Amino acid sequence: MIKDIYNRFWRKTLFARKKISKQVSGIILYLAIFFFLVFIYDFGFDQSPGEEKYINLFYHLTKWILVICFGTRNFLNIFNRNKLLRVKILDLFILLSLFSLYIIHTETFFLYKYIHLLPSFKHTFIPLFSFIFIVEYSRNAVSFYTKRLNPFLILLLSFLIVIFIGGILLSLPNSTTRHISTIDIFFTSVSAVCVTGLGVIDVSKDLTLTGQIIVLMLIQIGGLGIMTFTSFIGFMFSGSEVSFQQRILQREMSIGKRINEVARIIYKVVLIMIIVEFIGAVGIYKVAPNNLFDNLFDKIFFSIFHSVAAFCNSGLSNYPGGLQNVNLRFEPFLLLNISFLIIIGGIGFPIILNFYDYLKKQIVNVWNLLVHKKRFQHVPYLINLNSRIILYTTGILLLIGFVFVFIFEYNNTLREFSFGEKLAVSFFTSATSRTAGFNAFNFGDVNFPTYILIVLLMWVGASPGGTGGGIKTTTFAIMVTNFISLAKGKERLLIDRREISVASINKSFAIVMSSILVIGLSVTLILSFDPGFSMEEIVFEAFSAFSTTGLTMGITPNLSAGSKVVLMILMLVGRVGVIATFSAFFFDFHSERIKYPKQQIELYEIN
Amino acid sequence: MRSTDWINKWIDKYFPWIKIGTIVIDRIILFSAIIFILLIVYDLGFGLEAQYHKVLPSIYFSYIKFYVMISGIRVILNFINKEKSKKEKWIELLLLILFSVVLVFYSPKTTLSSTDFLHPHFRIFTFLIFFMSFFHAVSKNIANFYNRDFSPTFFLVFTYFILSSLGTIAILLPRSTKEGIGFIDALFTAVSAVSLSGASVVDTAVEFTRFGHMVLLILMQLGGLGIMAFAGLFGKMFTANVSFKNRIILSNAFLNDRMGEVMNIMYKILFITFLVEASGTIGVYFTTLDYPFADLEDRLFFCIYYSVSSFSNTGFTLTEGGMMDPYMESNYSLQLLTSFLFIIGGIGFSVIFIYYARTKNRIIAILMKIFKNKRMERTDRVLNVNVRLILWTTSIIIIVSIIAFAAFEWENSLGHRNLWGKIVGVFYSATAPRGTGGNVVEMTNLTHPTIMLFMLLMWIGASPGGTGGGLRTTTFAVALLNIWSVIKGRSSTVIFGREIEQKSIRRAYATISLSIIMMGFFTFLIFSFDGENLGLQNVVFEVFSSFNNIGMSLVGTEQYTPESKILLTCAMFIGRVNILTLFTAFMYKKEIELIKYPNQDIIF
Repeated sequence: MIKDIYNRFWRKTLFARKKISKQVSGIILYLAIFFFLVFIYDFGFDQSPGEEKYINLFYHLTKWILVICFGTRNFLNIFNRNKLLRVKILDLFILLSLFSLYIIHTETFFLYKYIHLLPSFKHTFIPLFSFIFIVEYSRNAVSFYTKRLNPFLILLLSFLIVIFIGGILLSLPNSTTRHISTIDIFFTSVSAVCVTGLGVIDVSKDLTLTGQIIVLMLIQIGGLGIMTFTSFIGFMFSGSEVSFQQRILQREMSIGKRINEVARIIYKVVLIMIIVEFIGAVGIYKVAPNNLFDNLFDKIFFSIFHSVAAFCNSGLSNYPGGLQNVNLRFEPFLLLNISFLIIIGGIGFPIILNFYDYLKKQIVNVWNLLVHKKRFQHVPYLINLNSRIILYTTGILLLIGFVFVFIFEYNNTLREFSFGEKLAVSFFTSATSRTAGFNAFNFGDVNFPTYILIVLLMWVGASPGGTGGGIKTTTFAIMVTNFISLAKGKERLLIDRREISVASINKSFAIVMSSILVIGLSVTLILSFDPGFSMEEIVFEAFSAFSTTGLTMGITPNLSAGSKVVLMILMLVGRVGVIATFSAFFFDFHSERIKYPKQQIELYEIN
Repeated sequence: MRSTDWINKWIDKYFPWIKIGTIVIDRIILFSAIIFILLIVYDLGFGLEAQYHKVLPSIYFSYIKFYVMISGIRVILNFINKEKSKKEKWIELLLLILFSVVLVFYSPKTTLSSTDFLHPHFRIFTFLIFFMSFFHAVSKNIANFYNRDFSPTFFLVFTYFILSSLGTIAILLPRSTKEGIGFIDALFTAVSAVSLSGASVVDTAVEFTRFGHMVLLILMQLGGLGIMAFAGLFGKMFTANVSFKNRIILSNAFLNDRMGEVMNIMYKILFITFLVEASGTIGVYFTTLDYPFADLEDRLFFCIYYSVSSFSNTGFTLTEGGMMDPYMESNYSLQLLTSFLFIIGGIGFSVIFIYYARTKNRIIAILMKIFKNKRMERTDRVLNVNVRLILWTTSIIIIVSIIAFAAFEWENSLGHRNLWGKIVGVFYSATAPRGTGGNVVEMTNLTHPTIMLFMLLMWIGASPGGTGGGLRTTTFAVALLNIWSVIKGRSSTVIFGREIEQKSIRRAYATISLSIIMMGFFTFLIFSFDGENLGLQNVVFEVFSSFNNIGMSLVGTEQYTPESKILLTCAMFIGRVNILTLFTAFMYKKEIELIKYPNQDIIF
């Protein structure tokens, strides 16, 4: 009987409940955005007491609205069978914490006299609200993807939003030590989010600790890939299944494995990233000389900052003058440590995951062998073609960079280093050119052969699924194998007894060609905005920005505003990818129905 | 009746011998033509002393006699040879008549003095006939080459190598230059002419003698004809998807003669080239009426030289400083004419031919209507996809470059010209970087964006089968279309209702990537020799210009060190034969692909 009534109620109110639920989500989201603005104002500027009163009132109002919204939602959750338990519990938890916050801060509460032991209302409410905001944003982000929205547009917008937020955060008075123009602020934000590392300001001097932490966060978000970031959180908190489109996007973005593993992979990615960065930070802490830092915190922050920046292939440094500083450049182990972080970050998650799985299984094996006395099981180490291409290309490029930088620069920029340091610095330069962007010597002084080599290395960049940029090692590998196989007169492109698919070749062609056109256009624009600089410097700058490397011959801070804007767009386009940027606006979801007859095109005299 | 039967029987019986005889005679003609050309070049180039003057005429004379004899036998054999096409027989008859004319008019018996032999007109006339016969023999032998599985790519590389070497030798001859020329400069100039670049390390207008100019003229002409011939023979312009070899097989199957096919294409090319260059010459003649030439010969030579140089997209001129000569710089109608000539030259002979055939058909139709009151059916209204692609791409590039150039330079380097001059200047300057490489504005005055625009245009270049250089418009178009279809997320690239074949896309990819790599490599090398004093921009521009066979220079190629000149020569040569062709020539290995491998997607 009761069940019947319940069922009838369930059916009849389906539409209404859905509508209410939607409204509630909307209210929370808008509130969150408004709250965010107020929050920025509150923390970034100093307020008069009058203003503070209004802000506090706003906080209290927000709290009440939130209580109502979450109350409604929890009430609706009771009747909703489709929602996952995890989500319901999360909602309930939020409601309860809001209530407890309310209760704690009322005067009638019996423990009110101990309230001073707890952080103030503002300081407890704001983290809670941020948490709510992230949860809500992620949920909505997920529901975006389930709709037929262009995933490339979302990708582009995500970057833009993070850049914008980063810019606003950095422009707060408490982030900077001196007044910095808006364009420089946003340049820094773009540079951090796109993990480039081109600098128009000195991170160590012009930014406060808060500013540096913001930059660090931006680098971390940018490095992880915003999509990975949001979908990770969305996955954790969302009730619905991860949509197909989102998975496709993931594959486009960074992960090359089977799509139904995407969600688990994202989780692993974050885990691995934390592990690697932690190990890296410990390593840097170990090798960094003690006498450079005022206190322990400085040293720890230095280690973390550089570990994150290196793993994310960013190349920003919070030490005055960066790694080029006399105190740091003669530390070969620090440089090597950073090199390895760069390489691991750039090689891409698929390979790290592959290796991680293998390692995990081996450890379990050893554990079983030692503890349970089980027989040692053979674990096959399978590498797919993509990984093989990546490993080979990365290895060859690293070696070429290392050997030639060493040879070309032996008597030039490497003059002041000892032999061992020369080796270390060459290796470091080879690694950092592949889109990290730290520098141990001034790139304005390099010989021309080194210059060309570094431009090439920057252009090729890191591997797909990694934190680096460039046209990617796989693209480069396909480019080279394509012309070799054509010259040999082969009809199809074979690598390791696999035929490379038509779509892959076409895509790699599009990436190469568009990268050249975009870089050419940018060089033209920068040349016309800043005719004072030599073409050498500008070409280097453009390649560096496009491949999100961040190496410079020292002209970045002196560029005009127009050139800076060009570089910012170039960094963004380089990070998102030229093809993806255009796909954001022109992607065609309709499948092709018509098959046209094939036609060979005359390209040269002899075809 | 009876008698013809007997003849036919006899012919059938001895036909293999007739065939062998024809081939032997063809070979003899080919090699003797080569020897004669070398002889005449030697004679003209060294300006032999008076003591030889008695010997040379008799050598020439006996040579011509021998030639008339041989051609006579050939013509007689032609009467009983059924396999030859009518066209070929006519051409061979024409050659015989021409040689006879030389024999009759210049025979020592009919003329009183032997000095007539030494008259340049005689030698040039003889030379031209020998050249024709040489050309005829070569075009016949190409079919033989191909029949023997001779790699066309290797053939192309080889041809251009031989042409460049011969050109170098000819330029090194003492009479080619007024004050002598170094080996590197001669090599550079020869390759520049053969590869239709037109870059110069010496001012050819001033330093070269008339004979030297003739050498350059011939080199340009051969370079241009060669490119068109290769495109016509080994490209697939005419036959949509049937390869040359297949065509030969097909022809054999249908008992058509393959020689006829080859010769047909070769003579079409020759005819069209002649037609365009002749009209160009007439045009130049009427636009340079007010230029003070010494005599009519000078004037005519100037017109021919200029017309050939423009049509072949080379850009050598007879005026000091090229187009920047005060007279040339202010002769706007000449500039406009030049633009049209090199655009026609660069658009590829397949396009020219199709339009030529159309115009011809239309004229015939009109004539038929007027005189015979008959209606002719209008044919071939549908254009080949390739031709349409070439036309669209070329027009779009021209329009875009005109707008861009006008925007950058209207009041800058063109500031001193009047409105008409500005319009012509814009048209010329926006089209020249895709072909001839001449400049009517001071290169040093150009703004940075213009320089970048020029580099892009040089890189794109002209159309396939044309005399221009660069990547070719179609390659560029395929690249852009591919980008667009990838952006759209489509699996195939479609243009004009046709899906572009995967092979074409892969070729375009290879060409573009190789050209970037090679240009980077050359920049790298040349910068290490000349970077210090010239700067990156000049070096990159020079490399773009050389590799894409344009011949522009920001500072003047003569300023480069000899090492760089050699490298630039290599760049021009590689650019002309196409780097992919060069690789193919040495790496090609026929492979039968029996195994099917699994497909693999690559992540980017």
